[in-house]
Amino acid sequence: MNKLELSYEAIHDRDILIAIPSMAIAIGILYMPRKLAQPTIGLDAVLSILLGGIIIILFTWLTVRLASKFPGQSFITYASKLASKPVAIGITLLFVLHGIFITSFEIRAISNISHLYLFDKTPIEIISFVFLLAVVYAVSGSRAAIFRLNALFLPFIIVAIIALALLSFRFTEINNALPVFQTNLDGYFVTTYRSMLTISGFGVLGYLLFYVPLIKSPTQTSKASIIGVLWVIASHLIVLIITILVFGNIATSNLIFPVIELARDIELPGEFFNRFDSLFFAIWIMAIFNTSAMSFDVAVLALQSLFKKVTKLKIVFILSPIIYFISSLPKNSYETGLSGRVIGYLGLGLSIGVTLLLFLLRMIRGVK
Amino acid sequence: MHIQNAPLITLYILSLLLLTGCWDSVELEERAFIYGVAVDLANDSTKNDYQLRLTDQLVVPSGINTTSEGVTNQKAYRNLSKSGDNLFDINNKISKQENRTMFAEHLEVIIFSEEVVMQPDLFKKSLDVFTRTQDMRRGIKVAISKGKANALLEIVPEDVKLPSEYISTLLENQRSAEVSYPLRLGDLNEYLLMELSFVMPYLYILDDESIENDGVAVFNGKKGGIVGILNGTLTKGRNIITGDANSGTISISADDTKFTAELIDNKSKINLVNEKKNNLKFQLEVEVTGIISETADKNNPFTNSEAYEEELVKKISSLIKQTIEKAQNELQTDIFKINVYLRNHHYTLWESIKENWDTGENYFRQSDISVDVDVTIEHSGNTLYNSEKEGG
Repeated sequence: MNKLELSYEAIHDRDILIAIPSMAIAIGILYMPRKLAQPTIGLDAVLSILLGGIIIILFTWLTVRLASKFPGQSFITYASKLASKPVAIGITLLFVLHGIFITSFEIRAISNISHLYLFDKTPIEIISFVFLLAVVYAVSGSRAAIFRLNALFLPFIIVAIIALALLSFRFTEINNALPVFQTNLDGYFVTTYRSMLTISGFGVLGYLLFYVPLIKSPTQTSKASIIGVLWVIASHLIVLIITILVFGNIATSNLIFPVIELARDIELPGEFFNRFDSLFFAIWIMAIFNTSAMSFDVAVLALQSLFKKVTKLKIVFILSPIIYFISSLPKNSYETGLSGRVIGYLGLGLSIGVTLLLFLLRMIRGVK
Repeated sequence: MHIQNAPLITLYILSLLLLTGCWDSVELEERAFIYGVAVDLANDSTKNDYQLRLTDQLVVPSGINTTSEGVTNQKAYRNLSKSGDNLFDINNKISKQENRTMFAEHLEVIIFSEEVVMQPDLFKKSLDVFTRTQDMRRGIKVAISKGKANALLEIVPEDVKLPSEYISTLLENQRSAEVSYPLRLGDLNEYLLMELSFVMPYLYILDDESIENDGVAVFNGKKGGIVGILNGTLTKGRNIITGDANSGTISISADDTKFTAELIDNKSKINLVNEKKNNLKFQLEVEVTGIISETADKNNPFTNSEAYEEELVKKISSLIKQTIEKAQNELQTDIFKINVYLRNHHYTLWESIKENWDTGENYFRQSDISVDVDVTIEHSGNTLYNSEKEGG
């Protein structure tokens, strides 16, 4: 790599701020209100999001703090220093797997949803194939370009969430917020756990271990990442509150994709935008695209650090069919959801576990 | 053009051909939009085995567009019906009669006949298809009809060409206090999931060209069916109790006085004052704001509004008393949203009584509801006296 290319690939603190909501906001938020409404009563799940959010902020801060101590080094380099080479290789491979699985899951899930609501005759395989091609195109280019795409798409996503809240405001009913604080401890416990899962975007925040060292001068990275997670928490809060205020707790827990139902409820004046859901879908596909591209890219990045001689394009072209194959494994949407849950919990465990392990090792050994 | 680029260019042209295909494209002219749906009991249904009859109202576009020549006599709709066990299946059977692809995305209104909703749980089961399938929206309006529901889809007033559009806008017109708010499918689904009791708009055919929206059908959540009908007057009482009577009139007609007040605002507040299960006591505070829009009274309402207010308090109190009596003794169903109040503000108590709230033990029936009515006359119109001036 020559000097010019290096500077081209460099990312900045602000990119991390944008990357965090871009990665974390994806499929999960579309059904999050159901998962959080089921074990709670009224709007009590707000507390769980706040609590889960604080825990995730804490872990993200740890992750970034750890990774920003090694600017310019790849994950495998600093992890080897901290935890021996074999362990570092093992962890890297696990992240490769996580990246592959998350990409497959996101691709399959968005294909399922598009098939369900947009094109009921178009085969799922075709939808996911076309979507994968777009992701491959993004990943095979420059890494900085993916970050720039994140920056390009994120405003749309934020606007979509705000529009969703504002436009469905007239359907809200204050009675749906009541009663307050009637959930039992068990309910809070389960939903806090689920909030952590969705706020961490199924563990994709762990990818920061790979991306943060790419920052040339990591001065404000911790602050930027905390702001990034705060954005994610805010979007979850807005979506949860508006969904429950419109549908009520019980109907929300009975809807498979409460957020899509909410978008479908909105009818705008005027012919073209009459159906808000089509607009919402278009924007949400951007959100899924960001997440898929980032998780695909992290798998590529991790493999690149393992096999330095193999070119990036080769890795991308080897991974693509694997991802396509895995994405076609679930038999139906139930199995897709189930696989997402499994990948999510494993990913969250992986991210938190690795961060804690390396952070503790660094404290004990004092590696610089 | 360089000859070595030829394969690439061929690929581009080929992909243009391949990628522009669309599996799901259906031309607008080939779509038949279902605008209204009516659900009835089929003639051959027996007591234990209910057969439903579904009627779809399809829009005929050429009937809607009037030509420059003037009025066309062509009908703007086509009603198709079939019988069967399950609605989705019946709909599919109906599609055999239609040359265009049927689309329910613009469905405006669903009408159930009284007899369907009277059967316990049949209504709940037949509603499932409307919340489950993806092309249904939760904003579809639901209403109950007196008699056959499909007959309503044949009523064409002079100014509206589509019966279902007429019904849909009729349900939205809230100028009277004697009707229910339009019932959205999404809300209905919520009530059914929570097994709460509620009221539904009640429609009947007045003559060949009009349908009247009058009174409400009372649905008991636990019993899963309609338990009775509340007439227009009592519906007004019910709406005043729940604070929903923000329009409509109250007319007083006694020997010594005759006037009409127009309702412009209505608020109500409910409080639980005694929490003993078998002797629940509720205190209702009802506030009504109105204007005098017609009077035959010798008193001028501008300076003597207290006298008018007093009359109104008397009238409203007795109306409310009648309504509560009907709900508690005859219908034995909570139509005043007290269930929602209890769930929201006295959750533990509600959890312990919800199974027996308006069925079984029926705590609702045993509870004591006292009402405080407060009437304010905001203004009395443009004139002072009726033609007959006091003492004149």
